[in-house]
Amino acid sequence: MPMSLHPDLTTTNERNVKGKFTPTGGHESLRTALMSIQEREGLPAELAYTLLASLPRSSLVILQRRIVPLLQLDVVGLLPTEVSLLIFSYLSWKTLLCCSLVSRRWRRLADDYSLWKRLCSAKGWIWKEPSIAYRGVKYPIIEPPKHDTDDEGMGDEEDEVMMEPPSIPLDDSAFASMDVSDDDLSFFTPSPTSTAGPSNTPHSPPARSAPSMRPMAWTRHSAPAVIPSQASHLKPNYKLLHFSRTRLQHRFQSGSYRRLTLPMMGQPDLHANTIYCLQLYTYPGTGTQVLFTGSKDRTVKEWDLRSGTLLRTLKGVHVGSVLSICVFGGYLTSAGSDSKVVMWDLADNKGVKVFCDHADSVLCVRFDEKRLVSCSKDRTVRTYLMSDLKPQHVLRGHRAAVNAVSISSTYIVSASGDRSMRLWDAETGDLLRSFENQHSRGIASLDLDFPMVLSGSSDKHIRLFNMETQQGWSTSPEFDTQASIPLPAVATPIFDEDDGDGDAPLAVCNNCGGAMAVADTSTARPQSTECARKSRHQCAHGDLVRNVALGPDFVVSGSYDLTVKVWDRRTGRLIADLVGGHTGRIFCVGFDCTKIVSCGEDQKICLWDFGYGMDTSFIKP
Amino acid sequence: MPTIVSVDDSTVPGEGSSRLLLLVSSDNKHIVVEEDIMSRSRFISKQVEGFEATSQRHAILLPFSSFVLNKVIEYCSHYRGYYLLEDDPDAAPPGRSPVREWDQEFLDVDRNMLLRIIKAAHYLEIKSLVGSCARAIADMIRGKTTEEMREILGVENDFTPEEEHSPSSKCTG
Repeated sequence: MPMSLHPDLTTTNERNVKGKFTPTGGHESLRTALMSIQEREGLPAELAYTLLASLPRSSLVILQRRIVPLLQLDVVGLLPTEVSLLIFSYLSWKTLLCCSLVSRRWRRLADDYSLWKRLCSAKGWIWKEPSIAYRGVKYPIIEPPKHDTDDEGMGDEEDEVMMEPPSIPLDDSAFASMDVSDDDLSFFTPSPTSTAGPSNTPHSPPARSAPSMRPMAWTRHSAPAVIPSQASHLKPNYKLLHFSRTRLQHRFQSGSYRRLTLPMMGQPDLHANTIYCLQLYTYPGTGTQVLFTGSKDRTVKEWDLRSGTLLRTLKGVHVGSVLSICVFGGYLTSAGSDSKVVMWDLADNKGVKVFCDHADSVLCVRFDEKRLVSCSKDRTVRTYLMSDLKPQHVLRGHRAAVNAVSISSTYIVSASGDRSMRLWDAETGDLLRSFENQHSRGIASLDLDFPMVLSGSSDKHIRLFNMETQQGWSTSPEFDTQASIPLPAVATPIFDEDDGDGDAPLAVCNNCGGAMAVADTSTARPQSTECARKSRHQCAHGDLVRNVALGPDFVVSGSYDLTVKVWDRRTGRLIADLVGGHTGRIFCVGFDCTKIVSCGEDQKICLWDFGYGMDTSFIKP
Repeated sequence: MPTIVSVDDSTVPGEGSSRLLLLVSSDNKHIVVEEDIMSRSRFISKQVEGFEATSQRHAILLPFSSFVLNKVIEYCSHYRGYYLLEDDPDAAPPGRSPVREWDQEFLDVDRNMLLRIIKAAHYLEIKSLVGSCARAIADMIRGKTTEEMREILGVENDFTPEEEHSPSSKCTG
């Protein structure tokens, strides 16, 4: 039986030389002979070498030209697509960006939907059907606020007289930049993916030059409806999602944002006094994101973040300041200095239940599908079951006002002016553990991602620690269990840890946007790099930390010192120092992957937008 | 060309409880191998099921050389009797399991050979081997620049200059 070349090898070789060389009869027979030896004996390198050595120099040169492509085999391009994709599935996003520039075939493979979907889902990045983008209004220039120093949302500390609040300099020049120029409004313009023009929708956008004119759509007092744009019929573009999220992360890291201020003054709709609390909320049905705020003016207001306009006002129940709000599953609860907790149905736009069990101001309220938890200046924490809205437990033990409470499905954590944090079993109401002396003064704020708990205190420090191991970081050297672990000298991109690539060279990725994603420093604030060199102890807040928020990558804190700071959750490194936005003490902060919102005494809502100039309509916060 | 060899059950000398299979490579080598060694291959398993249905055992013709086939058999023999999650058709798709050390050494071959092994493993539906090869190839690419990738793998840049630098080249996935 004749010896024949096996088909896979033949095609491989011929495709690889790509027609540059046409095999002649003589060469072909030599090749066949060598090949058959190889097949029979394995790789008789010695024999092949001896054969080669006997050839004249000119033949060797020709042979070398033919052998080189054999050694450099496009193992990726020659395989079935599914196998090539399996190979690429072992690569990081950075390497994939480089791969997509190798050749057309490689680009088709490296851009594959499945690869980027997997990369996104590994990071918990979810594609959202883009909803219609509103065209924004131009924000008016803000006037200086009335100054009011009483923070009712903070209870007194144990055995300590409340500090005199610092006098806050009011500087008009700080407001000059609030007037957003037309260029800055690119964020608000409809995204390119929203091809349905404004004229196709019943929600016609307001003229930008007439901010006081309220269009019909915004006078409705119910959850806004959303008409899906044509983009929603498209397949999710996970590569774009990954690119955008990476870019946002980098902007957070480098403190690159545009600051916008929601119009709060001079219009009848706006809060007439200090804003104590806020929460970002996305309607599950429509995917529309709104902002709720609660104020000393006894109302709760809902804002359209894209246009900065008021959507509705919840009022008439509270007879004191609204100190805390919580929005979940179509309901909103508000807690007030009138000792009341009110639950509102956002669909019906009315109060459904008023809880009057606390004996003093209710300082914080949280709820989920199982239970509602409120804490008060009366030193107690009260829980109610959501099934019947009946009281469940009264948690006693704190020796001073309970300033903040945070919940998970099975635990409740409370923080008090008595400097302690307490961990309770949500089901039984049992005190599981008391964490004393977490701060040198009373604890003002709390956020929980069990077992990690984040706290901010009158001692000007924040602290993130694991309740199971008691390990964590703090801006106070006294309470920093990681003080001995040196911080990375430079701002390391924390989001690359899982890539396992080390430092993929990115200079070549200019065309594909890969380098942009990690070198977008054009608008970076210089202080963030300065802070990277300082230890977290040197970057601590200059006054009481009134509110903290814990996210998957970052920690955000707002302080009486008028600044909002962004910290790396893992290392406690200060990432960004957001200054110049507020002229009064900051009482509440909130954030998602594109923005930070803050509010306080100056009656303003600052929106620190890290997604400026980007289409973020498909990003699920 | 090799003729289809019909092998009667009784003519195959049984060794232990495992029956034998006759594999024929593209270079017409006849290789006898114990059935349970090759049970890792979904392709072979399906063939064997077919034999049982018709109670006729045939030689299995494979479109790659005996050199590659022997390499695959070496792999299957090494893991004979071992449970590998990737090869379990009923198991959920595995996550990122650590690289098996033996596989790394086993696949320390030239690119041509690596390509032929992964093709053969793909044909034979041996997921664990395809996965190990894919990783070995990914290791060659990882962390390289586009130019380095082209150089290492001899890929020709077939983009037009416009295509290569067009802004549409980003995020068109």
